[in-house]
Amino acid sequence: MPLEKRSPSTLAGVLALAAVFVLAAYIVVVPDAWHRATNLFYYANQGYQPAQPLDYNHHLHAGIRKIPCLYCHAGIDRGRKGVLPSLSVCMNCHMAIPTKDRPKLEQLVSWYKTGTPVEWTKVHDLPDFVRFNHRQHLAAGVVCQTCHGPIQDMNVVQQWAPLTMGWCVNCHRDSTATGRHNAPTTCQTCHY
Amino acid sequence: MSDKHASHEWKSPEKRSGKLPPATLNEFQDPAKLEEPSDAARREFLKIMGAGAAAVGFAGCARPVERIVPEVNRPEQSTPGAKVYYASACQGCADACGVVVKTIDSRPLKLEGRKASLVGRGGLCSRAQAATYDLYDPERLQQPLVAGDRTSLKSFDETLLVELRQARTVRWLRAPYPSEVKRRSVEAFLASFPDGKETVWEPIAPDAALKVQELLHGTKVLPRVRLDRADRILDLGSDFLNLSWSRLDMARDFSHRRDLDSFPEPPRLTTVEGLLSHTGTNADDRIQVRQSLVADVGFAVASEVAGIVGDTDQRIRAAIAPYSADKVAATAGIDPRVIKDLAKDLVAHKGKAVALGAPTVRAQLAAGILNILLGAEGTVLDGVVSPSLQFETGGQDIDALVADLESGKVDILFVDGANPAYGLAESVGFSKAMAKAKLVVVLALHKDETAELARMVQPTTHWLEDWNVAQPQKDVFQLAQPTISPLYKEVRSSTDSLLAWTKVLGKPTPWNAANAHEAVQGYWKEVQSGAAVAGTFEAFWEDSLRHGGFVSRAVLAARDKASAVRPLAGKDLASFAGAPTVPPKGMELAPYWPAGIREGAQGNNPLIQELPDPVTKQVWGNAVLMGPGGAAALGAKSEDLLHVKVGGEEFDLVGLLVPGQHKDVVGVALGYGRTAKLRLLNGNPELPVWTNLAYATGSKGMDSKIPTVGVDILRVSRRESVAPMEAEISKTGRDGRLSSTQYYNDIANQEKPGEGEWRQVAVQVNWDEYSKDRKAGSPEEEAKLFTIWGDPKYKSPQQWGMAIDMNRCNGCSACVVGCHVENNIPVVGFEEVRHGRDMHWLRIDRYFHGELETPQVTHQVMLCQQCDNAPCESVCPVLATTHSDDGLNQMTYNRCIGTRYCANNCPYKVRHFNWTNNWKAQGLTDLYEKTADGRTPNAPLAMAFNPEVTVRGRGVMEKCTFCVQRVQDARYDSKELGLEKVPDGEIQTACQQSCPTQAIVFGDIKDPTTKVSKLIRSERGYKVLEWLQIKPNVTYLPRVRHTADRKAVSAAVALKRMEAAHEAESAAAVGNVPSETHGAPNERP
Repeated sequence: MPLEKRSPSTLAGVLALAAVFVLAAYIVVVPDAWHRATNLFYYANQGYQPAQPLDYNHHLHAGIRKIPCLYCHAGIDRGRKGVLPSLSVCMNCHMAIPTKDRPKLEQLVSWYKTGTPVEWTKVHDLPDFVRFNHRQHLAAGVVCQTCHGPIQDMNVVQQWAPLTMGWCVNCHRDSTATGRHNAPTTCQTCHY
Repeated sequence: MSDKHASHEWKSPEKRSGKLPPATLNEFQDPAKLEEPSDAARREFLKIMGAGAAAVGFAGCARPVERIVPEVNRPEQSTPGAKVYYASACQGCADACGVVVKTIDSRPLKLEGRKASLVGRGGLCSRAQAATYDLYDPERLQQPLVAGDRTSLKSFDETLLVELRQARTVRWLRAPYPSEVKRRSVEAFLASFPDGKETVWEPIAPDAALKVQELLHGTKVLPRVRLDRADRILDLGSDFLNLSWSRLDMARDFSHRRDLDSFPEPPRLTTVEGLLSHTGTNADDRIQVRQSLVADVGFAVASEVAGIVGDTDQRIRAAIAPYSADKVAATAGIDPRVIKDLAKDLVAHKGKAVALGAPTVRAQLAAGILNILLGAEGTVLDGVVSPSLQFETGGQDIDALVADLESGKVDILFVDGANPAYGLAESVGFSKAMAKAKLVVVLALHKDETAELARMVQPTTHWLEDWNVAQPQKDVFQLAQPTISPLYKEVRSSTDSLLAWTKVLGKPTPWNAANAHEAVQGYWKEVQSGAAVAGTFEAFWEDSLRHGGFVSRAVLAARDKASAVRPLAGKDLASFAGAPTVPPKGMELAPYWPAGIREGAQGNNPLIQELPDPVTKQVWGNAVLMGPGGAAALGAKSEDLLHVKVGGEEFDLVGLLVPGQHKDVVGVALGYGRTAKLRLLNGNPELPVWTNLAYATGSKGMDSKIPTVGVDILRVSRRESVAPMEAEISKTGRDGRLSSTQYYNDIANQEKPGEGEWRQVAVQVNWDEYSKDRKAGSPEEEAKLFTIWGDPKYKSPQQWGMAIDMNRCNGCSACVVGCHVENNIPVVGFEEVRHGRDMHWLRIDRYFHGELETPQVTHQVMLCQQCDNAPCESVCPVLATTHSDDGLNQMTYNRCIGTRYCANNCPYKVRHFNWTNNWKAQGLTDLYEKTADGRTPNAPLAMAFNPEVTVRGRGVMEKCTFCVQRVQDARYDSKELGLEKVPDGEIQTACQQSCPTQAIVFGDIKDPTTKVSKLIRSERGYKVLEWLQIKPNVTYLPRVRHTADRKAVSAAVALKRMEAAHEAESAAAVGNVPSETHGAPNERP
């Protein structure tokens, strides 16, 4: 039967079968395939480094200038959410920093003046059925770098850790085993 | 059924007589309401199937990109994701209960009762719980309308001003709310016109009570009822748990008085009614008479009481003279000794007995006279020191307003927050009279029935967006503050509008205020000086804002000691009492206000529409409620379509059998059958079909046939909406459709009649037995099943458990709505409830005990019992439901693959399956999804979600978690404070918090000193289906009923006689079961 006369569902079936073969071949041939596949199946996003609307540099601010994390991310120790600073926090310093011949800074100031909020692309994006809370991790003395990696050296933020459930649970287990903390591992610690 | 089970409960009358209940569609039978994939979507799917699969593999990270958009200037002290609480006052009705509004990211998410408030006292009703869904209702009016065209506030004002400048006669109609700011704003505005008058009206307002108070005591003041001081309560059809002013306080006091640990003997509530009301389900004794004779029985009791007490005022004697117990009893068909014994019992508790009347003048008068005779004034009733001021009495009444409108002299009629085009009987003729006004301006949240008739409509703010004050009782001052900026730019509160228009007209505004905020502050200065509070106004204001109002401590002390007695002031009581009623020969139709929907204003609120009625358990509409005798006389059964002729109107409506209802009375709930074009009222045609949750069971007008959810009985009712009317009812021979949550998930009775056994689930015991043996309530010992499970061992220092006191619970269902709001539980709609696919994590099961004609009703809160040896866990193939360290049965949604094994293995039937994307079916997709023209149509509804709880999708099982998000929060708090354990009382589940009667207690059961542990160890505590050996962690305390001594000729005996007369008929009604075998499990016919 000529291909074009087959029903769409048969065609789809054939193509799907072909896709499975391609995938199988891919896993065999590509050396990093298993890691990538896990990344896919576990919904992980390690190494994700999207472009951001504002060319903010953690290396410059946190690494070289040594501005404390909680200066900008104020309130992260109180709420559940990760807190990104409002433009007014940037302007606390940038008010005094000349923008002449610095087009990026000019953009920052103009956004502030026109009241345009920055639409950041979320990097560390947990699934909606996970309830992570910054508050008690900070209270337990977990440093930012444990999950966010060497953020003070990053020019553009990327997801350093896999942020998979296995990765979270390992840390919870280890901290309990070593007696550092009593981190619970029951399901509803994160899922409810 | 063996004798052993003779006292056992039954869930529906059909189950009682061993038949399968109607309306039971198989949960698995029909496909769930799924959204149809469009043609385009199917092609897209094929494309992906064909070419995309491999590409996805290579890309590795095809997941949605999310944005974070921080504010340009973050408000001071705000932390994203942190909870902020505001004290405020509820403005859902005139009760003005104190609330605390939980907000996250500036979104009001959950209303909770404010513990320190003297009105409400920490409880909140179902309507207030659902208020956030009104705020985020996508069908709220967003722009003013002039002659149907959208416009801006500015041009609306300009158009209106032209009219205002020419107007002479102006009328302002508004719903009652005890706000001095509102009252004076209206007053100042109306002073700008030569003839300006105000009408305060609401269909459900206690007009009759006010009128009778004036008649008896000379002042239009409603007393504060202190039911915790009442040993005997006579309820003359008042349904006070549902209808009275300050009903939450009455419910609270009544439950407190029933607390068996605090008082030596429980009170006795006797109801006189024809229907089975919500209050009637909580009665110890019920006297069934025709609804039209309720007041007559009241007068007869009064005349008996007067006979015993002697020395009665001449005016009272004249009023009650025509009502002798014998005569009234003969008319009502009851034993006269019932009335006489009742009178004796009341007199024996003189000073501690009270009567409460239905919202009709005669019933109120009977109750008022009884209260004078029984010395309730100054003891149970406080009409002097701190009486209720919830319902205002000034201005014109509604009939005068209609007369003015009829005369055609009204230039502008303003309707503010009221809906008279729906809420007034057709006979009053409001809609026609309204057309004679030169201009009608409606200020409303929705385009309701009145707004549809108006030329100008101004959208108002929801009360959560606005400032206000309230003085619900003489010494209680509530302060309501906005918890969010108005969602839309072109809306304005009616107070703001009033002040703005007054200013533009060049007249002085009260406190010289330009907006509601200034007016509220101006008023609050008066409160400060009135109460002589020292210190600056700023300090007083800050303090009041923090506490949601102000009560002076001195007043507080006086209030509890209040004992002043109001003298009898009326002259002519006899003409109001009138001659004894001659009841109609045939059936009488008694309209009643149902608990959830009440006057119908929240008809577009999904949570209220899907809240099962406490008595009938019906959702999404009303029905013709028939008693067993009435059903037999009609030859009808539940789900038969009945034809009703009443008051010159005819309509078809489905019938529903309600045990314990008088044979000559049928009931129809008010508040349904609205015709406004809102999606939950009759289906918005612009929305896709699968989003229609509502189903039109009625229609307006036999000719025009506008489809409506239920039938509007308000339209045909009289001026006193609940006054019974003579009706002709017949069977149409067709089947009707109703949706009710009582027919499935039956854990007490066997699914198939004749098989299995009756299980004791909801235990009730009589006081005479209980007072002798405190363990009398506990269920009979059943042979325990063999178990392979050992005792659980939990690592955590705490284990969570709950105690539910059924003796406190009155079935009001506030917890059901509170649970929905807290846990993002969707509603499923009329059709899906019929299939038993409702999602109420927490439901209230209604059980009947005893005979079909004279049942007693127990309300049992049923939720996940968090069993230690949970049967659901052992059958889950994917470990989606497991046990936590602190004894909770946890549900991991993302693991669930939807086998539904767990739900089938749950003996309590508390697990609920998402048969469809229920939230999507409500017209909700993505919070920030934009339409082509850049609008975000779904944004408001999505804002109602609690961000601390996952929103579940199709194919996922869900159930009560004991509000684990609150448990976790409290644990973090305690941990940060360095505490090993969460202190007792720190965690309040959503249901517990909102319970007006404090029937639910949650806490640590490992610690023997906690409140919940003490209740669990109480002698009368029992666990439901304990013999299954699954170790549930919810303890129930049985209902103790204080019925009159059975040896005496009691109401129960009298009703037995009545019952005998109708035995044969009732048997016919429920399926030809011979009366000897009542309750016996018969084979299916």
